[in-house]
Amino acid sequence: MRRGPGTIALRLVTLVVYVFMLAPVALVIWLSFSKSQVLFFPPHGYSVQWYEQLRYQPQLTSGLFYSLWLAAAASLISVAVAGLAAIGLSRGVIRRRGPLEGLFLGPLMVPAIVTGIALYVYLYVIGTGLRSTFVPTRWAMLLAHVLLTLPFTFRMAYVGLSGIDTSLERASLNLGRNRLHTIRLVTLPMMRSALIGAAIFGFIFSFADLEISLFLVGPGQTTLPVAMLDYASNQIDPTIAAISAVQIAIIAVLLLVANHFVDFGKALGIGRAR
Amino acid sequence: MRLSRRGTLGLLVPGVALLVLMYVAPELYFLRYAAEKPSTSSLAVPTVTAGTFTGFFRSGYDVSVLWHTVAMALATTVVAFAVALPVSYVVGRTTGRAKTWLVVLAVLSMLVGNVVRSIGWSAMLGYGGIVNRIGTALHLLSGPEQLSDTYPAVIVVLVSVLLPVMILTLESSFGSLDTNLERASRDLGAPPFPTFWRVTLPQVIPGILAGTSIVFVLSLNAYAIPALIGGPRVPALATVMYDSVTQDGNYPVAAVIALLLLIIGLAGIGAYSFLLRRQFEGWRTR
Repeated sequence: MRRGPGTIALRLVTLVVYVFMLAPVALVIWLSFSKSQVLFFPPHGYSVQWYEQLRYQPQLTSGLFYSLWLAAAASLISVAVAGLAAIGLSRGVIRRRGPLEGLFLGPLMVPAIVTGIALYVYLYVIGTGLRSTFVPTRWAMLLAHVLLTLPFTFRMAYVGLSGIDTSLERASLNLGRNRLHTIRLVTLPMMRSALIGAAIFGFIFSFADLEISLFLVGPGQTTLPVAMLDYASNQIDPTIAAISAVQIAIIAVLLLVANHFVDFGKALGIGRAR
Repeated sequence: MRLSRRGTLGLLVPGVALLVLMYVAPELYFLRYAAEKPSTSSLAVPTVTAGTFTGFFRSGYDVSVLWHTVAMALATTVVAFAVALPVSYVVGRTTGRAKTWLVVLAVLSMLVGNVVRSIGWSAMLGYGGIVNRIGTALHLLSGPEQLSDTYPAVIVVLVSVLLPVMILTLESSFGSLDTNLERASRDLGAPPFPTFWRVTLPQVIPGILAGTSIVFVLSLNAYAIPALIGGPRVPALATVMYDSVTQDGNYPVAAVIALLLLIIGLAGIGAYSFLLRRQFEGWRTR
């Protein structure tokens, strides 16, 4: 880029836009350390009492633990399913890949809130037919979050595989290993960083998502974003800022870890026309 | 390596079965309700009728929500694109550590969650929030005002929340461009702006298509921001759909809204990418 007044103006615009983008995130953290119960900018004093007070907010803390469990379980299942499918799709005998790729990226097409309500209705009807209850249960929620994360984990595993040199696989086959051994000893180890990246991103997508969970929450089984939305519809105070800061911190740390394993641009499929 | 037929099948079966049984089947099962009637005793009355669909369009309220939601999504897309264009140009051309940080910060703000960002914006727009404080200090506002609960407020927040998606999408297009063409244009005497408009921009059409369509669909489907920033005075299709299920138990109307969201999203993207592509094909060959 040429330096000049134009460049400086462009950089200034970039700075302003980044502030606009990140201001709500930064301010939530700042206000969580406010001393008074009523939010006021800038705060009149600082304290960490709202973090201690979180103990007395069972719906938020249980939401936090439920969401952590959910995100961990969903991303592991999702990575396992997506990893196998990605190997099958890129190394298998398949006449037309398009429809299958479309199927795995499919859940991106439908709004998450629609997927959530559709799954609720479907499992409710099946459950009634079988005289048992499938919704709301934690397993229905887990299923929904696996579906939510699958397009992302699949894409990352698939992209990761396309970057692997297949001559190593051929060498392994030529040296007498069968295909199963080759996948286990050659392909999977080379997919390692893509799969770790996929697991971290899957975790984040599940952990922060609101929409797919809205219809699947039940008593004692509320995800953190749903619990936060409920709380925030009544009042915005330092308590909700504190739990938001906890969520921001968890996601920020995970992103810094993920940054070591994957290239963000490639991983998120950004910039390719879908 | 080529897998055997059986091996391929074995690897694909878990994923395909999961998606067909638990994603495709539920969506179709639910969308079918759009052709049924609301019921008080069960989820829907099993019939085939266009009544629910036409009923939606006969209701003045529902139609106005539809138009407002589409208008909001269009406005968000246009503003986000205009703001993201210079920024993504800068980010795309930056290299080294600065680039890493710009990308990481954008990804962080994208993935941190719509709820957290809505809460942040609620705090900013509240009576003691930064916007009211600065506005009052600069005498732009006569005193603290209720700033949320309006369509413009929802659009501003939607833009802020969806900007990272737009910036990251455009940025990678700008980053992968061949800068020699620009240099050639400048050396041949073209000023910077026409160079950008006639040489650089046509090359990033795929990125623009991807970015604007994703942002359009995401703002069309947005739930958290209209619910929290807009409240009941700023209804959007997603919030009306949520209420029609949780308050009225009206699944057929929810299915009609779901169908509309899908159709508008897909049709919008299709028509618009066709037009934009044709427009710029003409430019390139000129």
